[in-house]
Amino acid sequence: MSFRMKLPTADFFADIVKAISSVVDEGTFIVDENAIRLTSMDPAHISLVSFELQKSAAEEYVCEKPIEISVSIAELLKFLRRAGREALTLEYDEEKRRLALIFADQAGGKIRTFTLNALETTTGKTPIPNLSFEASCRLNAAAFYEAVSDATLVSDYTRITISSDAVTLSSKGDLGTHQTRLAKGGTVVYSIETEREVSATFSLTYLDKIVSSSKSLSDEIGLALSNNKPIKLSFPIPSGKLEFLIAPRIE
Amino acid sequence: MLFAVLASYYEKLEATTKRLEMIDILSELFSKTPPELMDKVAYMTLGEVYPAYRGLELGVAEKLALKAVQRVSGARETTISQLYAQHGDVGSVALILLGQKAQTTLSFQELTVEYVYSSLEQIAKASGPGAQETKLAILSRILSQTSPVEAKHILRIVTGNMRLGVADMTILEALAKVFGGSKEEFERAYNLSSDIGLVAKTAALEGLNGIRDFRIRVGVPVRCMLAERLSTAEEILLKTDGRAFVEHKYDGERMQIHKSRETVLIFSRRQENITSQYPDVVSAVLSNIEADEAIMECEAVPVSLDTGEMLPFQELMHRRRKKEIEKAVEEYPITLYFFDLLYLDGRDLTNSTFLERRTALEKIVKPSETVKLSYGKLVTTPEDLDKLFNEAVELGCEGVIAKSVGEDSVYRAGARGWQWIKYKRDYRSEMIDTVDLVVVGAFHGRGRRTGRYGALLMASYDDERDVFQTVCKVGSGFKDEDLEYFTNLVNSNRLGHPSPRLETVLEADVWVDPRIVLEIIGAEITLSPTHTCAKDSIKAGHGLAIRFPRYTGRYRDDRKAEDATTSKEILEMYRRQLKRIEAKVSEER
Repeated sequence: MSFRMKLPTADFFADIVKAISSVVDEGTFIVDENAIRLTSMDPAHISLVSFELQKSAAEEYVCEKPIEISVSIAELLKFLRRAGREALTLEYDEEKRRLALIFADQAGGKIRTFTLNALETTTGKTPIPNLSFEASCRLNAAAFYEAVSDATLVSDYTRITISSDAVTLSSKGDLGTHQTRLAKGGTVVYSIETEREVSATFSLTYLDKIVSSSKSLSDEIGLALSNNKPIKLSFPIPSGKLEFLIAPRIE
Repeated sequence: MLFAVLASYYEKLEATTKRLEMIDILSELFSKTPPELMDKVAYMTLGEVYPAYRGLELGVAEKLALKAVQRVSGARETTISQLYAQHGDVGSVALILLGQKAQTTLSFQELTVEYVYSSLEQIAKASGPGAQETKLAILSRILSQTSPVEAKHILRIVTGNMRLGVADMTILEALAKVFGGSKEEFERAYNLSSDIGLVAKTAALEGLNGIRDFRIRVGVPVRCMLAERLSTAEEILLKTDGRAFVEHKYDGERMQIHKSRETVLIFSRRQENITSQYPDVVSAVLSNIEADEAIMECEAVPVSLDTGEMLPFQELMHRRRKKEIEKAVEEYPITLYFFDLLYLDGRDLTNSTFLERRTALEKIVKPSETVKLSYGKLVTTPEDLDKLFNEAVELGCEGVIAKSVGEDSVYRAGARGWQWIKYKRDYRSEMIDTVDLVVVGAFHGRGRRTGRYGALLMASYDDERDVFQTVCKVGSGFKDEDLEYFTNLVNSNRLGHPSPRLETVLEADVWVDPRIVLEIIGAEITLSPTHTCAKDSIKAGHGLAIRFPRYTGRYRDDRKAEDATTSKEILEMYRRQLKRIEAKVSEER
C-alpha cells in the first residue's frame, strides 16, 4: 500500500469525479505527501480540468512517496455513483497497480470494497496555460447553470460578457435569441471585479457539460475572463480547488 | 526542429513540378535537419514511419482521417464528405476546414518533428480491440495543436499519400548532393538495406564512409534484382554471350527468405514482412534448408490439392486474410522453387557469379514436396532455349528466365539489367504481351458511365530518368464493379496537377498520383504524336502508343509504380513487332 486517504463523505468525492468526467475519460491523479491532484485536457484540447485536494480534507492521509495513478474516470465514476452517506477510503497498491475504494458505514457496520485496475500512465504532464484575466466575478451556481441551460435552447454557443454592473449571457440561433442578465446588487451576483467590459464566445457543448456536472459541488461559481481568451470557471471546495478552462470561439 | 519548418519545405515541394528543383529543395531540407532526425524526416517525406520490412504500418484509412478532421473542426459530416469528393485528399479537406475553424484550443506549444513522429509511432503501434479509437484519439490530439498547413501534411503522412512527387530515388539523389559521393553509392546502400531512413541517418552521422560500409545483413531485406525482357531466343543468347542458365519462370509470389538458426523471416518483392501469411514456408525452411544463416530467393507457387498441378498465383490471395491463413495452408498448399542465394553462413554472395551462387544453393536445399530447386539448365543454342521454353509453358510456367553466367553475373540488388532476361509465353503470339501500366490520369465517363471515370490515362515507366510516360487511354475491359472500384481509387489518389514525374501531351480531366498498376493488353504498338512513351526514339516528335488497349481484369496491387513495364521494354516490343511485320511483308511478296 503506497497511498491511503480516508474522506468523511463519499458523495463529496463522487461529485468531484463527476465534474472531472465532463472533460476527460481517462486521467492521472498525482499524489504526494501534501495533496492529490489531477490536471487534464480533453482530446481536442478545448477544455481543461484542474483539481487539487489538500491532505487536510482527509481524516487519514498516508503517502510514502509521490506516485501517479492513471485510471479510467468513467469506470471510477461508476463505483462512486453507488456512494451514500458513508466514509470513503481510497487505497492504491502500486505493486498490483490497483486502486481500492472502500465505502464504510460505521453505524451500520457495513463495508463495501471495489477495486479498479490502473491504466498505463499516459505520457507527459499537462501544462497549464499561463493566463491573466481582466475581469472576474462570483455568482450563484444555480443561476449560472440556468442561464447556460437556457442558452442551449437557441444555439450551440453563447457570448459571456462581464461589465462593471452585470454578467450577461447572450446567444443567437437561426430561429431565435436568448439573453440572461445577472445584475450586480441582486442576490445572485456576489461580486464583480473589472475595470472595463470584456466578453468572449464559448461552445455550449463544453460549457453546459462542465457546469451541469459540477453544479452540485458548491453554491458558488467563479468566472474569470478577458476579451476573446479562455474562460476560467472555479468551484470553491473545502481544502482544495476545482477549476476549468475553456478555449473561446473566435468569429 | 519545428514541424512547421518541415511543412514549409513540403509546401515548396508541392509547388514545383521540376525534378531538379525538388532535389534542390530536399538537399536544403536535409542540410538543415539535425542528424538524429534524418531518418524520421526521410520516412515522413515518403509518407512512412518505418521501412516496409518492419511490418508496422500506420493503418489509418481515409475514413478514419476524415473522422479526426471532423472531431477537431466540428464540421458537419455532409460538409466533410462533400469536400472530400471535391478534392479527393484528406489533407486538402483539413486545410480548408481547420482554416475556417472558429473554435480555438488551449494549446500553446509549437509542434516539433520529434513530437509528431512519436505520435505517429504511437498510432502505428496501437493494436488489438479499440486500436481504431486509440488511433483516432492520437490523431485528433495532434490535429488540435497544428496549423491548417501542418495538419494537411500530417494527414497525408498518416494516409501514406504525400502528393509531393518525391520518390525514394529523389531522396537518394538529394542525399548524394548534400553529402558528396555518387547517386550510385547511395542507391547501393539503399538496395542492401531497403531502409531510406537508415541511409539518410548514416550519411548524416558517418558521412560517405558510412554509406560505403553498408553490408548485407540477415533480417534486413535486400531489394530484388530485376530482369529485362526479350522476345527471341537468338536475341537472348546474343545478350548473354552465347551461354545462359535458363530456368523455368514460375508464376507465383517472389519471396526473399532470411534464415537465422531457428528464426525465419519472409519478405515480399516490395520488402514487406509477409512471414505471418506463410507458417508452412517457415517450417519447410527450418526442416529443409541446411544452413545456419542464409538469405535465399524463391518463387512460392500454389498447387492443386487434387492434381498437384500449379495454380494461378491469385490463389495466394487466400493468405491475405489473417483469420483464414490456417485454412489456406490446408486448402492451398504451395511449392517453393528456390533460385538464388545471397548470403550463407557469414559469407556475402552477392558479388559471386551466378553459377557459384547456384552451386552453393544446391548444397543447402534438401528437396521435398514443398521445397524444390528451380528447374534450369545451361543452354548455348537458340534451339535448346526454345525447347526449354516450350516445356516450361506446358508445365504451367509463365516462360523462362535466362541468366548470364559470365564474370559480371553478380547479384545486382534493386537493379534491372541484362544479366537476367525474361522470355514469356505471350511474346510470340499475334497479340502483344500484356503490360503493367500505371494510372496517371482519368477522364469523366458519359452515358452509362456518368459520375464515374470512363477511361484512364496509362503510362509506362522510364527507369533511367525516373519519369512516367503516357502510352494509351484505356476504357474497355472494365466490369461495372471495376469501374466503381477504380473511380474510388482514382479519387483518393487525385492530384491538382499532373504528377511532377509525368510526361504528358494529353490533358486528362483528373490527374492521378502514379501508384495504381493495372495489367493491360493491346492489339499493337504504333507511333503517336499524342503519347510520350519512348518519345523521339523512332521518329522525332513521336512516342509509342498501344492500340485497342483492354484491362485484363488483373489489378496489380502487388506492384509499385516503379515496377511497371518500362518505356524501354515497350520500345523493344515495338521493334520486335516491326521485324515480324517486315518478315510477313517479304513473305507475301
